[in-house]
Amino acid sequence: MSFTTLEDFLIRASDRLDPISGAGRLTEVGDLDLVEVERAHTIRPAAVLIPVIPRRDGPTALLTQRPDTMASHPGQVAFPGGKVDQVDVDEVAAALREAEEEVGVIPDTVELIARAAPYVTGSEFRITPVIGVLPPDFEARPDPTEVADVFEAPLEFLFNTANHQTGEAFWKGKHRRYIEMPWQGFRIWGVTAGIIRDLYANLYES
Amino acid sequence: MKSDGKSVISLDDVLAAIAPDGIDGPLPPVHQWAPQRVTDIQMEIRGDGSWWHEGGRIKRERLVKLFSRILRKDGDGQIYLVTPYEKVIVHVEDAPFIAVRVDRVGEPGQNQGLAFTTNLGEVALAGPDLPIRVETDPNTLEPSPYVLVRDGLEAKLSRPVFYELAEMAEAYEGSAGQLGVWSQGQFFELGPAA
Repeated sequence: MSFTTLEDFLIRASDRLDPISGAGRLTEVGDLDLVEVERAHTIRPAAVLIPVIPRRDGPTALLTQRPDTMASHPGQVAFPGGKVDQVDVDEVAAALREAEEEVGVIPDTVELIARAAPYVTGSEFRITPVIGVLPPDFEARPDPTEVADVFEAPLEFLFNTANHQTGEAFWKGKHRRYIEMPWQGFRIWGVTAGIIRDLYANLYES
Repeated sequence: MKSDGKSVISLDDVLAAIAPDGIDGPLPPVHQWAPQRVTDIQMEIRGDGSWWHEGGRIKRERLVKLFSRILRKDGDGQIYLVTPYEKVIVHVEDAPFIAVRVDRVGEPGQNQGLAFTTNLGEVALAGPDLPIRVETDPNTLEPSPYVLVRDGLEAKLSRPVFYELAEMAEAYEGSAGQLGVWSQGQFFELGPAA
């Protein structure tokens, strides 16, 4: 099973993921084994917006490339997002605020759909992905200090295992499998590929 | 309160009171989109107004509301969910909406307004642009009442709403024995006087 239509995608997200507010029931995923037990208490809450745009050529997700100068995950492809700040009431608010700052998303125009399973990274963040639909004519206004580049990848491409290339690498003392989704010269890998793959599994495999 | 015309609160006030959440901003410009692709993913709206996908009910009301905002009825009579890329067929058993409430607004009389609230919280103020119509089954004589909500998309009046309307019904000289109701200067026939 893979992506069919935007409506189907949104119904699956709404049925199988956590609601926008209230308690979540999805269990954490990600690189939990990379976080040492004694450091588990230092895991910081973060959030990303998975901005879905119903374009004329098919629905896409907006992605950014982080500047090489960033402290965490420099140069990587990422969904807009960041740490949950004191000003944020919750992860959803953080995702919207960061998306506004980074690429000019107007929070009021986002149709919030669901929260995906929190993804714990080896860099000790607990990232809550928030799925929201942007207006079809959304134009990104990237902030160059936070974002080096902005692009969109079709949902049809991202949520199809034929495009999930798996590889293996030796890292932190272990052979580890990783996933990569190369799209038009952008390398979607690491945490972002992990978030997409896990979302795929929740939406289309169970 | 004296009904001297000035004490009557404005239509906007009444509508705001009926639909306190308002409508979530302007509707998407579905009429500007001309997608070529047509898909059938077994979306249905059943006679009771519930939404279904591949035989499973869509439980999140927020999602149903989101979809209801991109409904469009095309020239072929088919109702679709429309995005810029494709149209998704919606199998509608009866009408896409159910009118679950009616409020009489303004001074009673020919210029009163009948405001219908749908199961999804949308409000339709009946009038020349949004007519009420009653279809009668030729065999059972069972009436099926509807009110237009927008762009060819109707709400079926729930039974209590239809009864409420029937209680307001009256005849007038031009109505040829038909009982009906007034809304915004327009007379809508509901059926023959018993």
